Amino acid sequence: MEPSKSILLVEDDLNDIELTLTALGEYNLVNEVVVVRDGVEALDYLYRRGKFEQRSSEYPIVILLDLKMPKLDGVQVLQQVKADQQLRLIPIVVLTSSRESRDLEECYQLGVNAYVVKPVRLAEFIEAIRQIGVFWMLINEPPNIV
Amino acid sequence: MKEIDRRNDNLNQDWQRVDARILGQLLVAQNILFVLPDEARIAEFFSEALSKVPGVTSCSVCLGGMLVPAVVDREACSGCLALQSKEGGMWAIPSSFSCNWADRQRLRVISLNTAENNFGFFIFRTDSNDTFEPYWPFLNNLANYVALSLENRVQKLLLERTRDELEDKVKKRTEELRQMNERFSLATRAARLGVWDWDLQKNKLIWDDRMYELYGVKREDFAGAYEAWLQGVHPDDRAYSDEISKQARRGERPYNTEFRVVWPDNSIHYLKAYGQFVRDENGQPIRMIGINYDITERKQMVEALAAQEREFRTLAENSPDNIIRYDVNCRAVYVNPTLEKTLGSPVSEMLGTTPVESALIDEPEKYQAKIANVFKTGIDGEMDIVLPDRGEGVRYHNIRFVAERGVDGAITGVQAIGRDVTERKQAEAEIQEMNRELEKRVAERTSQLEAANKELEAFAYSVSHDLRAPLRHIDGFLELLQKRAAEKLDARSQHYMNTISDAAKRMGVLIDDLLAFSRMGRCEMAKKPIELSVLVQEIIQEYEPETQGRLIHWHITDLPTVIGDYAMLRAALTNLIANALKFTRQRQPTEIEIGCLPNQHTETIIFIRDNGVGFDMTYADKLFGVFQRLHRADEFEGSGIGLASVRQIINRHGGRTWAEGEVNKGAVFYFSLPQTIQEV
Repeated sequence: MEPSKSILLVEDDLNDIELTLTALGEYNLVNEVVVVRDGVEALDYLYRRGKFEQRSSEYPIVILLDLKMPKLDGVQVLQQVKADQQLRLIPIVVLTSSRESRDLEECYQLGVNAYVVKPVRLAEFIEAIRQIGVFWMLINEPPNIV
Repeated sequence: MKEIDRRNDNLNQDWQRVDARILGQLLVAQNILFVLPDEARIAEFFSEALSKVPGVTSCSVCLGGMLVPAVVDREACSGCLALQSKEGGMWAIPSSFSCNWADRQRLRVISLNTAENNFGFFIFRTDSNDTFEPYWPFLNNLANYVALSLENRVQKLLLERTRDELEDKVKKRTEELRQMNERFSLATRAARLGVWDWDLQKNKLIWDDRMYELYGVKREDFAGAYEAWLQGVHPDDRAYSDEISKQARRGERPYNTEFRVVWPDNSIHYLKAYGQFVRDENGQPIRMIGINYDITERKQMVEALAAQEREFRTLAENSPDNIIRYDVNCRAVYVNPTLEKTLGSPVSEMLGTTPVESALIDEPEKYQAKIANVFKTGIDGEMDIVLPDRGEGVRYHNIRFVAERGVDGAITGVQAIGRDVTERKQAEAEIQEMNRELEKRVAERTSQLEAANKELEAFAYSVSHDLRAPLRHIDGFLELLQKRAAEKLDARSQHYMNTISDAAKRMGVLIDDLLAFSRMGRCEMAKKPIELSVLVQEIIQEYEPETQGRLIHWHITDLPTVIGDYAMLRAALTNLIANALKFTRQRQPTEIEIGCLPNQHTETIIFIRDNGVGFDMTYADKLFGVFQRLHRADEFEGSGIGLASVRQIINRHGGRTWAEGEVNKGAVFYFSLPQTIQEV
């Protein structure tokens, strides 16, 4: 069966969700973008629990992860996912406003697959999202997660 | 004796019968006796003469046991015959005579005797006793005569020898005396001793040259009598000097004294005198011999030492320090009045006691151990002691223990010198208390600062995330709006949209600068040597694209190598150079000078001078503040963070920042960096 090629977008800010979805929509790169609003939801989704108990068993092909979120923040999500034998295989791209060196270092220590600072100019932002989409959807060969 | 007399008579009678020839020979022999040097030849001579006596076949003269074999058969002369002399002494007779009995009958022996000595024998062998007999008394007399002559000779020799020995002895003694005299004279001269000799009977006092020197008088001015000597003695010393002399004369004491003499020039000299009496058989002194020598120098030295001792004592007595001297048994042998006052205990009670015995201080055992240690090791010691409270509070004293050494370097005593250090102790305690307080405050302040720093960090972090997101959204949605509605908007609406977009962008820059500034204050520094001239050139090159078309004269003098954090100093210099370029934009040509102030010993001072718009010195203080600007944004763009960053960076390096300027006359920006030892 052809994988569903879904993207998991973990983002609390509605403006950012809108801009990101706009950018992704411009290129029609994905079948499905699943949006969750904080770290807890993200883990619920990945572990198929709570309201995501009934979701299909497919894992997202890539996770776009914001760092500053209420409840469980991005770094904590990253930490838990990368600590899981199975989930750690899912590529994670951190998508954030900040280029704080502290964050950068921590994320790479935890095994992030990419770290992208959201550009201020919309054109640049759209271009960045396009490149992420192209790379992870078309160029990158995803792992087989059972 | 009768026998001899008879023989002599016979001899006299016999003279007529004796062959004159033989007689002559024998008379010659008598003289020979005194002429011939040795007994062997005498004996030989006589035996030859005697053998010519009628009836004698051979004759041997034996002198002092010596046989003269010239007349006897040599072969027969081996072995001896014991022969009894008339006096009963045994003599060895040459064996040539010891033949048979018949021969013995013909042997005649005459001893050469005197009352003292036996000198030998005449031994004859006769062939005819009858012919020989008349000569018998004559030969006996001759034997006597020879013996006497020999005796005489022996005595003479003995006398001569004794005389020689005596002469030798006298000569030797004389030499010894001479040498002794010389040595004595050398010794007296070396010791500069004056020697005197007093004849008591004639009251004549004889001095040697040195004596005159010692009394400072000339030989012709000295009367040479006891009274004359006494006259030279210092008036105060005369009476006892005379008394000592009289006592010595009576044998009550040895003459050994000191006195002063007054020279004619009135100078006073100290003399020491020794003397010895020579007494007659009745024990009456007849003569006195003695010496004088000068002890002025020694006296003066002793006097000087005493004076020095007095001076030191005065010093110790009046010293504000407490002074005690201890002997090897740690007993006090001297206590100065200051200590007496300090302890409130009389000197007499402390003298002769050890610190432990007198127990006037706390922990006297420890104190005494310190003294003992100085005696043991020779190393000076020190300790602080506590004096018991005597109504004015506890007093602290600092005591130093110092070794006193004798001439041979051995430690003869220990001085304990004490000083009240209560005030110092209190000040020390206060300082310590203040230090503790200060440390506490520093610790508090540090933790406050740490907390503030953490807060600042958290603040910067959230600024970085949360302030930027809305900006992105403003810009993002503005663009989306423009895409959708551009055609429908009029010029004014379009201008509003552009203004919103510019404002958002400016805010983005401000946020980025502010974050950079905040980072600059927090980040770790990695110091290393930096060649400023290289760094400045790199920065200038970086700005080349921006300054295309401008005429800029760079004046860059020799810049030193400094120690600092490369990234931070680069940021600071970049800011300053960018400022210089920015505020000279309208100057053609632009002059920018970067240099180092000469002869700064403790710090390196770098300056950047430009011919730009300058500034009003009234606002010089505001220049380095965050968000402080002296120009409007539409004149010169900027966030107001740059110079604040420079100051922050230089401060963190321990340096200073300041500026000088005048409106439209350019500006000079200075920063200093401390010079450290590591500096190249």
